[in-house]
Amino acid sequence: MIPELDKLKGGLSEKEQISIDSYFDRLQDAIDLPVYYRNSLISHFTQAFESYLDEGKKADEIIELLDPKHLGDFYSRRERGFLSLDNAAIIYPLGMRYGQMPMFRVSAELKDEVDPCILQLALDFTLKRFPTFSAVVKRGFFWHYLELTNYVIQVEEENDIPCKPISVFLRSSRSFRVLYYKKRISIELFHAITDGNGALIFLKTLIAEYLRLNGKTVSCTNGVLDIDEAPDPREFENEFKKAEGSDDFSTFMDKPSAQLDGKLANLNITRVIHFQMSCTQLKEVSRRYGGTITAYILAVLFLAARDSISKKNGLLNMQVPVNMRKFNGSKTLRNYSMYFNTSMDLSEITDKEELVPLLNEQIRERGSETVMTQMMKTTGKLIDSLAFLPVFLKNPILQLVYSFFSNRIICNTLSNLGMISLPEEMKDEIVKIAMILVPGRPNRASASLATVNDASILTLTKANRETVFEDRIYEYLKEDGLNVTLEGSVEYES
Amino acid sequence: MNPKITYPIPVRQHSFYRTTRAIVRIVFLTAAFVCVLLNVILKGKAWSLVVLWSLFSIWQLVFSLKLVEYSVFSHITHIFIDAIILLWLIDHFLAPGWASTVIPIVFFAAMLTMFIIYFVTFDRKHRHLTSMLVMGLLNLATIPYYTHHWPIDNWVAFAFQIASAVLFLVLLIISWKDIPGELNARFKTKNR
Repeated sequence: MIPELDKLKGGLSEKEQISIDSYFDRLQDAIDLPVYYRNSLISHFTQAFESYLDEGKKADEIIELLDPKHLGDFYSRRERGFLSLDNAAIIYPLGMRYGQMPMFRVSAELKDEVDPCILQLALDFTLKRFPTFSAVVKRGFFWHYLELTNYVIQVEEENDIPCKPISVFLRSSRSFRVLYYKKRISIELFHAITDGNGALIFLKTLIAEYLRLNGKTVSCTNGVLDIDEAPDPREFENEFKKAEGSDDFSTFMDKPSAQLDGKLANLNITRVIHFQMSCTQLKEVSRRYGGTITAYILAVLFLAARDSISKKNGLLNMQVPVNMRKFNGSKTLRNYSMYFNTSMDLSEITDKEELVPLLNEQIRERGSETVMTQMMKTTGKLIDSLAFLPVFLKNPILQLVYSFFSNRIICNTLSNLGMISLPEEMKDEIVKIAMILVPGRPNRASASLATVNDASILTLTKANRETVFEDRIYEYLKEDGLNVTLEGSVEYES
Repeated sequence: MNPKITYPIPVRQHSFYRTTRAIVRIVFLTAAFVCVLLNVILKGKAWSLVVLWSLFSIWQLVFSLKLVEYSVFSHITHIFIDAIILLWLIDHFLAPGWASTVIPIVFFAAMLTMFIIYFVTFDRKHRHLTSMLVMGLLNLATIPYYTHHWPIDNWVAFAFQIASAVLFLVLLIISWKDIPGELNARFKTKNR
């Protein structure tokens, strides 16, 4: 018996009341969860039902929209599933420290204010299509691994600093969160689950479902998955195991990079700043300098970093993730990115005219398929060599390696999600998409670029309080005639 | 540069836990150092091990919560295991002669607590499998140790040990279907 049901049926015709009773019977049949989750899931439906009735929708229309068939058998499954972490992900749980968790966020701003009730239902329906997203990380004797769960995840109103570590306590144990704030829907994920591209597919599918529940039809194209389809096993693949290459040992190591001036804050993020530009303009400017958008933005970051570092000599590295899917069209929704560093000596950073072609060349050479595949193979070999070391020994060793070689060798990261394609029906609904990357210590900033429709958003995430870096980025963009709109957060206090 | 604020302003949270953690870390490290130093200077039994273990346990259980896979069940397991080691250390280095009776009682209390929680949260029972297996196996492992090292006429201890073993056996029977999968996941060496 559902307590809210009587309230829901008040004022409806007898026929509608019978339909609602029958609907909730079917709904209950589709759920076999522990009591807490079961009640929570049912309450999402009663709240949405109420919200639709208030809007004046007919019971039959609502029943069709909220058909329990969209839940599939996800919430009634009892068997447990395990997955190994992919090769890129295994470092994340090992490298975690108190208050520091490798998190990132992708968010989309919609045309209209977000309805939390509908968003919650969209999440409940979408989650079954992405079983690896509802997985929790567990600690094995030799490796961490993922245990697939089917627990209900609540959407939350955004009221805190972005990308705060996810609570691992008890019932709230999960690997991602869905947030809403005014017109924005955000998902924040533990990096062990997926990378930016996997997260983007999830976000697009979630929004498509949200729009469907709002009465709009969205076709399952351009990275929107059909939520009623069974998950494709290729989406769970650890693509790293397929890497082929020579037995040469490609190295991740590099000399330590200079870091931006300013004390590293206690908080992982001190401020988020979005530089919004027209993609057409950005393309034109980049072409003028003889490079791609990535090379141009990197040049701006190098110049701004040079101005924010008091040292006049020394290596400056910027890391660029590479989406490996572009090389083989992989469908995996798990981590499938590799990284390379673009490097300049501080004394050689002069102006954009010189920098852009140089960086373009570095991107072409260092980010090539051959180099990246070789690095994947090296990762595999490294992992194999550690296979029989228990986690409690791997943990301190890899934490040390990670702190010395991962973030110290770079000053900043630029992750370019590129031009994000959307189904035609979604183009008018999504105003912009942005990604927030938490800077890894001791980096003081990280950057990402995402473009949807004609809106390119360069997002800068800061971990210090000096403002020279962002001020200089703004000036360098403006001096090229780009029309930049600034949005962001206040400066967060620790 | 004045960006339009499009993010909520977070309610300023007290960093009480963070501050306490920082202070406690300094106090604990100082206490540990002083104890070891005094123990070395004064010689005698290694009583500072008791202090070191106590500090380590409190730090682990209160100030350094596990980042992955934290649950009440695993926390309780840790508390019991830490307590049992502490009791053994006290018995060995400070006041000998009583642990042979007390430790089996604590083991039994641990198994009984797990037994109760296991049934109260039966719909999530698989979450507790590993903790349960660890505790049960530790209990079984100590039986030969007890019977070998302490007089067998300590029937109280022996009875509690056997009672704990029986509880463990019952838990094993109930969840035998889940155990192979759990062990497979936990002990997998190939990550690929």
